[in-house]
Amino acid sequence: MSTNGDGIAVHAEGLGRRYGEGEAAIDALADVTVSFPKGQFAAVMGPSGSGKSTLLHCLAGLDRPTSGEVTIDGTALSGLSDRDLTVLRRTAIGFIFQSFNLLPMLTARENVELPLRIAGRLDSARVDATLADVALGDRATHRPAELSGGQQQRVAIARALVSHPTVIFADEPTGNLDSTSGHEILHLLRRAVDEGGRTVVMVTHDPRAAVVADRVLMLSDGRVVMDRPGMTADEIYDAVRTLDSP
Amino acid sequence: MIRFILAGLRQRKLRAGLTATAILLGVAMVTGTLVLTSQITRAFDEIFQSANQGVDVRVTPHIDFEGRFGSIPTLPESFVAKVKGIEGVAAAAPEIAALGSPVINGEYVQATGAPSFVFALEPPPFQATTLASGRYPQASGEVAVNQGLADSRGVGIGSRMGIATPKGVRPVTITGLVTFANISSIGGATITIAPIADVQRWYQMEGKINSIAVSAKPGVSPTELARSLAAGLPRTVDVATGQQDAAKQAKRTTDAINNFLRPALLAFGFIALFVGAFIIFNTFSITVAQRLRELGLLRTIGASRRQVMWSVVGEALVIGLVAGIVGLAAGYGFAWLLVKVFDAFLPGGIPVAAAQLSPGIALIALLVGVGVTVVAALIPAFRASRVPPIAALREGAEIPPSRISRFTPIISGVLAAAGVALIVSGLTSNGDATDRLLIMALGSFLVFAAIGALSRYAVPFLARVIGWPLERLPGASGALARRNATRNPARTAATAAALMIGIGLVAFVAVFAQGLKASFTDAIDNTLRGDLIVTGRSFTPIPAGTVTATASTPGVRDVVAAVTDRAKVDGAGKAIVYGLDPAAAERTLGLEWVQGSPALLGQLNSGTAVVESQYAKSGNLAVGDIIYAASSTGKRSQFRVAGIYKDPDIFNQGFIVGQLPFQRVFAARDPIFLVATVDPGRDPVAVKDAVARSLKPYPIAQVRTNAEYRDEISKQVDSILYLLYVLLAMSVVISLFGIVNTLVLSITERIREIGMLRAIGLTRSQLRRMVRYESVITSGIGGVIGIVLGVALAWVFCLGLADQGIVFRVPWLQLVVFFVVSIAAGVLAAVLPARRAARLDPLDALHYE
Repeated sequence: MSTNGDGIAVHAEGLGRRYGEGEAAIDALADVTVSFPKGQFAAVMGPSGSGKSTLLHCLAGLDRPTSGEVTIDGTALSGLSDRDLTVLRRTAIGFIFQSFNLLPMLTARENVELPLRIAGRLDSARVDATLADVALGDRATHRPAELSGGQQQRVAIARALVSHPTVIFADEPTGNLDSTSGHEILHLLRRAVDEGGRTVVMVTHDPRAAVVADRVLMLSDGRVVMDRPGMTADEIYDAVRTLDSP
Repeated sequence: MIRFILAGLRQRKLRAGLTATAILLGVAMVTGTLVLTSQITRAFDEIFQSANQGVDVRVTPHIDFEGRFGSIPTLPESFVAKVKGIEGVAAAAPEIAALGSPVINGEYVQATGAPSFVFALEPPPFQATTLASGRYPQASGEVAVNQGLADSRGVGIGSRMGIATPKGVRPVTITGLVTFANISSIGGATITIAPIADVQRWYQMEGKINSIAVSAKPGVSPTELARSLAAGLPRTVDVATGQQDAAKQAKRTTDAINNFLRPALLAFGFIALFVGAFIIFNTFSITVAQRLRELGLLRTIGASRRQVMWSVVGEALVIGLVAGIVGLAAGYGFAWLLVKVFDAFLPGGIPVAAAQLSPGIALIALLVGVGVTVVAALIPAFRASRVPPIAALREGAEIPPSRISRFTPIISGVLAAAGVALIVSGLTSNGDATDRLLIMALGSFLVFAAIGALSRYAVPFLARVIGWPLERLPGASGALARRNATRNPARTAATAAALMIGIGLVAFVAVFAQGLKASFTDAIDNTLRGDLIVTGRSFTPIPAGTVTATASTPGVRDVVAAVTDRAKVDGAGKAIVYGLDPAAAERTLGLEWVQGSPALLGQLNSGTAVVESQYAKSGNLAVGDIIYAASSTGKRSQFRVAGIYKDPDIFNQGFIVGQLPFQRVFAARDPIFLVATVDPGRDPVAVKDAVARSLKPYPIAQVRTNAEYRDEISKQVDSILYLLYVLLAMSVVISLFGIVNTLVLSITERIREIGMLRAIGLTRSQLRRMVRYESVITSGIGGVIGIVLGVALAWVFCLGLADQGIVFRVPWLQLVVFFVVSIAAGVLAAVLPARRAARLDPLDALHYE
C-alpha cells in the first residue's frame, strides 16, 4: 500500500454530483472540497436529501461524480477503470452498511474472510485476530440468522477491518440497532481509529453517534455548511436543529 | 384479475419469454412430428393412388400372410387371357414389379435407403408414370428411367446404363424419361421401365407375372368388375379395385410410419414437454416465493385465496397459450428440420408431401401447450394461495409448509419404486410390444420424476464434490457459487432435474446401444464364425447366383447361404424359417446348443428342424415334436424338432431347416446373406478381393471380412444412436433455458448481496465467474444424477432383455463426454445471467434498502 498523500487518507476537490438533466436536474453534491487525514474519525451529518449518502458513495468510488476529483491514499479515482476501482475498494476501503449486508449462507468467520478470499490472499491468523478484536471469536461458526443485530454488525466491522484498509466508510452503522448495540459498534469504530490507526468516515443522522467522532461535517443541499472538530452532544443537537428549521 | 396477470407478465418479460420457450420447444416437437408424419403418409397415399390411376381392378396371387423380404408370389402369365375373357373387362395387362438398381458408369446407384424399382412396361391406360421426354421402351434392351435419376446422375436419352439383376448387370439404353404423376418427391427411389420379356428374363420369371391390371368397359364400375372377376377366377387369386389395392399398398408403408416413426418421435416430444414441465414448475415456485409481499398485498386488499391461486394459474394459461401458438408455427419448422435430418442420416431420404395446416394439429398444439403449463404451475399456484395477508407487511415472511410436504420424500420413494416395478413388469411380461414399451416408458417417467424430487437431498453433497475444484481456484467465486447453489437445495435440484432427464436418456441410449452392438458383434464372431460375409447393399436379398460365384472362387472353403421366408406354424404362430446347406452349416456355424449338437445341422435335409430357444418356448416346442408349417402361398410341410439352440440375433424368431425341404415349400430363393470360410492358411483379405471380383456381375452384393462387417454393424447402430442424440439434444437445450431462468431469478433475488460484494471488492469478472460456477455446479449435478440414473435404467433394461442377447456394457468414454457436455451446458447457460449480474450497478444494489 502506498504511503504517499502526506497523511491524507481521502481528499475530495470540487466534488459535484448531478442527477438528471436540464430543468429537472438536481445537484446532490455541489462543489464539495474536503480532506480526511489518516487516523481521523469523521461524522457526516445532515437532513434527508442533504447529499451525505451521495458524498459517501462518491468518496468510496461506488458512484462517479459529475465534476471534481476524489483521491484515496494518493490515488485519483477518476482515471481508474472499473477493475482498478474494484481492486482499490478491495485493498484500501472497508464498508459498513446500515443493514449489515452479510451473506446469509456463510458463517460469521466466512463472511469476515470474504474480502481476503476475493483478493486471493486468505490469512487465517489475521481473520482470527480480527474476530477477536470484535469479540466474536466464539461466534465464528454461526450464520447471520443465528446472530443478533449487534453481533451481525460486529461481523460487518470485522469484515471491513480484516483487509487493513486505509479508510472505512460506514453508512448509518447504528441505524438498525438498539442503543446498547449501537454504542458497542461506535466503540469498536473508535478503537479502530485510536488503536488501529484507521480512518473512519461515518454517515449518520444520530447526534449520539456523531459525538464519538473527532470531527463533524454538516451537509445541506449538497454543500458543506459546517465542519468542526470535537463537538459535544449539545452542540450537535443545536446544529441539527438549526439546519432542520431554517 | 386478468389485467393484473397481464401487467405482471409484461413486467417480467424475460422470465415469461424463457418460460414460454421451455414449453414451446416441446409443443414444436409434438406438432412437428404430427405434421411430418402426415406429410409422409400423404406422400405414400399419393404415390400408390397415382400408380393405380388407370387401374380399375387388380388381380394378385392369393396369399395367407406376407412372406419375408422380396419373396413376391407369382401368377402364370396365362391368367391374363382368362381375365380378358370375363364379362365387363375392357383391357388387361400383365404386371411385374421387381427390385434392381441402375448401374451408371460401373457405379451402383443408391447404395442404401430408398428402393430401386424395375417395372415391366404396361400399355395405356395402366401406366403409372407420365412420359416427360423421349419414348417408352419398345425393343429388348431399351428402358425408360425416372427424370430424377437422369438429373442427379447426368444421364439422358440415348445414354447407356446397366440394371443389376439376379442374372448380373444387364446393359440397356435409355429411350425415355418419366415422372411419377404429381408427386413432389419420391425420395431417393429410382424407377426403371423395361419391356416385360426383358424383365421376365432378368428375374427368371419366364411365363410368370406378379399381378394383372384390369380396366372396365364403359358403364361398368370398378366394384362391379371386381365382383364379376372374383366370381369368374379361381380362389388362388385375390381381386381388389384399384383404389382398395392402392390403399392396401400404402397402408403397408404408412403402418410402419404410424406405428413406429410417429410414436417414436412423439416420445421425444413428450420428453421435451416433461423437461419443460420441470422448468415451469420451478420458475413458478421461485416467482411465487419472490412475490410473497405482492401476493400478501392482494390478500390484504381483499382477494380470496382462490383469486390468488387463479392469478398464478392465469399467468400459466397465458404463457401456455403463447407457447402453443408459437410452438405450432415452430412445429412446421421442426418438421422441415426433421426432413433434413432424415436426408442426412438416410441417404435417399423419404417421400414428403407439402405441409398442410390442419385444425386438428393446431388444436393439439394449443391443448398441449396450455395443458402442460397449467398442470406444472398448479402446485406453485396452490402454494401461492397459502400466502397469509401478513406477508405484505413483514419482510422475510414464508409460506406455511403444507401438510403433505412432510411426506414428499416418502411419496417420491414410493413413486420411484412403482416406476421400477412398472419397468420390470414391462420387461418380463409376454404382452404386446407396444403395451410393454408404454408401461416401461411410464415407469421410467415415474422414476425420473421421483428422482427429480428426491435429488434435493443429494444437492449439498454433490455441490461439494463438483464444487471442490472450483473452490480451490483463487478468489472467492468458487466458494460463493457453491454456497449459492446449496442455499435452496429444492430449487437447485429442480433446475438440475430438467437437465438430468436429457442427459439421463442420452446415457441410457448410449449404454443400451453399446449392449446392442456387443450382442451383434458377439453373434457375428460366435455364431457365424465366417471369414467373409456377403450382404446386399440395401435391405434386400442378394441374387441366388452369388452363392455359386462365391463358392467357386479359389480359396473359399464353405459357403452358407441364409435363405429365409415366413411360415405359419400350427399352434405356434408365425416363424422365420431359414433354409441352409446342411454340410456347409455344420462345418461353419457355431450355434449355442440348448439341446443337441452341431452334427444335427448336417442331417437337416432329412426333414428335421432345429429351433431357436425363444421360439421353442413361446411355441411350446420340444425335441421330438412335429412342426406343421405352411408357407404364405399355402403350401404345407412338416419337420421333426431335432434340437434347440439359442440365438437371439441372427437365426432368431423361428427355426432352421435343410435347403432341399425349404425349397419344396417356400418361394424365397435369394439369400439375405452369405457366410464364407476360407481354406486354412489363406489370407481372408486376399480371398475377399478375389470374391469381390467374382461378384462383379452382382453389384448389389458386397463382400466384407468378418471384422469389416462388425465395424459396419457398429456404424449402423451408431448412426441410429446419433439420430437419437440429435432428438434428445432438444431436451438438453430446453433444460438450458431452465438454468438460465433460475439464475436470472436468483440474481434478482440477491441484488443487494451482489452490490455488497462489488462494494467490498469483487470485480465484474469475479462476479461473472461466481454466476458461471453456480451454473456449472447445477448442471454438473444434473449431469451426474442423469448419468447414474441412465446407466442404472439401462442396466435394468439390459438385464430384462438378456434373453434377446442384450448385454450390459458401459461406454465409459462416452459417459465422460456426457459429463463434459453437462458442464459445458452450465457454462453456456450462465452467459446471459452472468452478464446481467455484472451490469448491475453496485450502488443500485445498495440503494435497495
